[in-house]
Amino acid sequence: MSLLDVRGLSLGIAGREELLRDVNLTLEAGEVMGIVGESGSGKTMTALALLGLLPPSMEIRSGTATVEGRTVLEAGARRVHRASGDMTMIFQNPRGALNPTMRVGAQVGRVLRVVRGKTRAEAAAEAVALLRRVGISGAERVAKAYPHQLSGGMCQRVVIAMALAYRPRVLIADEPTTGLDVTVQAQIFELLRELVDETGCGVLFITHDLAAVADMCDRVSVLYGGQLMETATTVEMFEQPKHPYTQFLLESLKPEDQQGEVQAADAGVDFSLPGCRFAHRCPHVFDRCAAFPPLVETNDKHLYSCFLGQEKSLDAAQCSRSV
Amino acid sequence: MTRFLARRLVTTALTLLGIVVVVFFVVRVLPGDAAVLRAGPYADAERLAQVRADYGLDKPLYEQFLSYMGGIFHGDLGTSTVSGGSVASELFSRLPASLEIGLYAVLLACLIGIPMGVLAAAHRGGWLDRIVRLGVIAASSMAMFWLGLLLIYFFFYRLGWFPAPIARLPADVGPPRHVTGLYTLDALLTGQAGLAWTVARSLMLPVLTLTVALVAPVMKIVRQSMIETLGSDYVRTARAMGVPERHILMRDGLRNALLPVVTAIGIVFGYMLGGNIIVETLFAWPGIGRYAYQSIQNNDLEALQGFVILVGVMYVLLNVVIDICYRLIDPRISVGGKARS
Amino acid sequence: MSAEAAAVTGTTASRTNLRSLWGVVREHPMATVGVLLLVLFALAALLGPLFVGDPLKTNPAHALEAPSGHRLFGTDRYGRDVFTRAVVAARLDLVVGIVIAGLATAVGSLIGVAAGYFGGAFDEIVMRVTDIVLAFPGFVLALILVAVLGDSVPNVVVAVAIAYTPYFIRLTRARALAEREREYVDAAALAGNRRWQIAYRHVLPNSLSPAFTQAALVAGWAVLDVAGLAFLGIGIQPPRAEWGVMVAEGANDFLTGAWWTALFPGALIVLLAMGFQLIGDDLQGGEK
Repeated sequence: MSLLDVRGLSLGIAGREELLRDVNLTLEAGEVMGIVGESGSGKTMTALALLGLLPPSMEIRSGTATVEGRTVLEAGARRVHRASGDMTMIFQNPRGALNPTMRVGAQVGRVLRVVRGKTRAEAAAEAVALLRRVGISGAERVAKAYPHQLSGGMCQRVVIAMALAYRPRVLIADEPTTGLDVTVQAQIFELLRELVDETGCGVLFITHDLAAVADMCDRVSVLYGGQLMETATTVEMFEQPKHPYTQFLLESLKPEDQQGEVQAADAGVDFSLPGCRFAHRCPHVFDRCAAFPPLVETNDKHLYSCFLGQEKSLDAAQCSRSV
Repeated sequence: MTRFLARRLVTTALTLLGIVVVVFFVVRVLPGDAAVLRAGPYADAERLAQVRADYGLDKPLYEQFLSYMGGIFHGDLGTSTVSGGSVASELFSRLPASLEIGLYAVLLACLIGIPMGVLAAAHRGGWLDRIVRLGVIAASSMAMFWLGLLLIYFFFYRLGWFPAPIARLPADVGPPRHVTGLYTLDALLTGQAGLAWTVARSLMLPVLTLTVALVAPVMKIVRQSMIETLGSDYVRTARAMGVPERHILMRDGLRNALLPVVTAIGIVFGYMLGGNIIVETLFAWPGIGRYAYQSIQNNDLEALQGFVILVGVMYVLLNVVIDICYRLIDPRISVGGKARS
Repeated sequence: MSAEAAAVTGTTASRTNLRSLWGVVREHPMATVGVLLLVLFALAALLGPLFVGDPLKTNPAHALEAPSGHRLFGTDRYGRDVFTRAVVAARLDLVVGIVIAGLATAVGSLIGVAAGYFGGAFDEIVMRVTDIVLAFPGFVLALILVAVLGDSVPNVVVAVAIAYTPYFIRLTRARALAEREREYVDAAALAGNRRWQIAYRHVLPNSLSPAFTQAALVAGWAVLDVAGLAFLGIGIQPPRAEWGVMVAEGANDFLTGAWWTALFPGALIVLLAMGFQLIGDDLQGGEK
């Protein structure tokens, strides 16, 4: 049994077209899984759905998600009761993620109180310890500060301390270093890695930065237009991408784009069409792409959603039969 | 904070000066002869000359202004044309009556408006939200003088639940010993619970009328700022960290949503100071609003001018106090007086 | 195309129009009620006076008659027909509300854009003056202006409009400050436009949307202010047919049982103000 198992997740704006279609993800304990895609590819939507934080206009059409076998998401339900400690999330824009009128120590302590049932005094003491744990020097002093008195990197450490207080089995990190200095980025990555090794939780690491993926992740899932394109170990993804979109993605950052950032979306995906979401940009598009491609498995840990390879194997099968 | 205070003090002083200048010149420079307005339309030339001399209207304008300004610094707002008494003392003797209605109405508007605004925002798009939004529109479309009449008609004329709308007290009841000037408070302070109840009964209809006018902006601003707060990134983080919705509503939502509401109280007081003219006239309430109404009826420009200046000054000073409170409450505004986020 | 086909496409076209109209109505139920209210008042204002008699005609023999099929809203203490007066007043109250909102929007936007776009000393002066005007509660300011200017409809309109102008100055100034930094302003300057041309041809049109939104709400408040002043005996004077005047005239009779004298005109004031408020609320984003 995987730590996190997302099956056939489809989301849409109520009464309108489907945005996220049939997304499948698994995450093992102690593993960091990258979720890569352009903005608008559905990375964040997936995460918000898992946490039951979708905006009111969005609905879950189908799918389930379990953490250690406990259901955390069901089609139709707005918000499934989460066993405390299952799953939490840290966001981009760490400054905005903290309540501006509340001291940061109190914000960490509040999680300890409401989730872990600590008393006020215990929570205050443990909050300082957690702030120290995430590498904040002078934690006693910082605990009494308001968010606007801290740097962006410090704020993200505070948010991570809140996440630690929550003791999640699954931590979702949504572009946690956007807008932070490169050195701070590296520190935050290192901190996240340490926490995984220490607590054995799994991390869904949402990003559009392929360099960060190469650094951080054991496996990668690629999303485009709300469709899961490919899932593989990081090494395989970079060396043997199967899906035309993944190939395009890796190709696009080879020549001049040293940043390794995924390019912003093009003309846009027509979500009302039933077929492959990448078909309108795909160099290999052919008639079968008008239907939605199911995930195919090449080996134990490498899956992708495209008819191309299937066609070949189908051809091969037919050839062998005709011989 | 000191720099902020200094700056605020200077702009406030300028605004206060501006108020006096504007009112003074509006009364004297705009079309319409000040002497004719004072002496009435049927005065002959001799009487007009007499009035001019009495009020110093024959002197150059700047001299008139300087002497008026000088008077204000000594708490003198001129002399009533009709009663011959000091405008300032007439206004101040009526102020407690106005404050008694106004403060209760503002308090009641907040007691109703804040929870309603919070609930509407928390159940945004639901039936409660719809009722609150409709309530805001209905209340801000309400003609206060008409609503007051309806209330008097039903609760006094038809049902007889409340005393006649003719004064602060029924004719056969004397006021409590003067402590604050607010009769309800004074009656309670002197231990006359029965009298306090009598006073309160006379207060209820005018307060209710004014409250309807004041509750709309409170509900609207609370709802809006609450919706904004509940949609913020930090509320999302708190939710992601498993903080229960009720806790978020009170600690993240209400606390932060109330900051703009503090500013809104200033607006509400403005409504109150304008609205009390109508309410006091309707209920024959002996406050400054009715004083203004009577001075208009009597063409007593000196008195009206005093009223407008008093209201303007109170309003400006109140907003300064609110501004300072806001800065004390909001930790984002650092001690240096500079907002950093 | 055959006549038959034309008729068919004609009906489908009007059907889709109807359907999209129904869609708009369903999305904006409150604004729809507001528009309907205003349309009713506009019809009464335009056509009403043609169908009713003289609003000033007294008839002491029929004073204070209760509403009946013959006299819908009854008569007042002078025997004047309340319905006739109420219908005739629709034109005055509606026009006064719209003109005040229009005046305040126009003057406020022009000054606000100039202050925001040109900045400097002009901006400083404008802001100080709006500070002073805003230091008075609007109703109090309008009251003293009318008291000094004298009682007449134009004076009331100007006085109330002055009280609301600073709001529009602030709104458009803030927007113009933001618009000033946009690329099209630089482009227009490079194309050789003068500063005032840029301000009024390019910045002004792009800075107006918050002002228009506010204008609908202000029209509603203006109706209430004018009627409130009239109720106090300031501005519009009896025996003129105006709803606030009618409520004032009927107030004493109302409290002695002749409820129809003040009930109907007051209700009409509230409904007219509500028509504007419902539309203004929707323009402000409704649920948002």
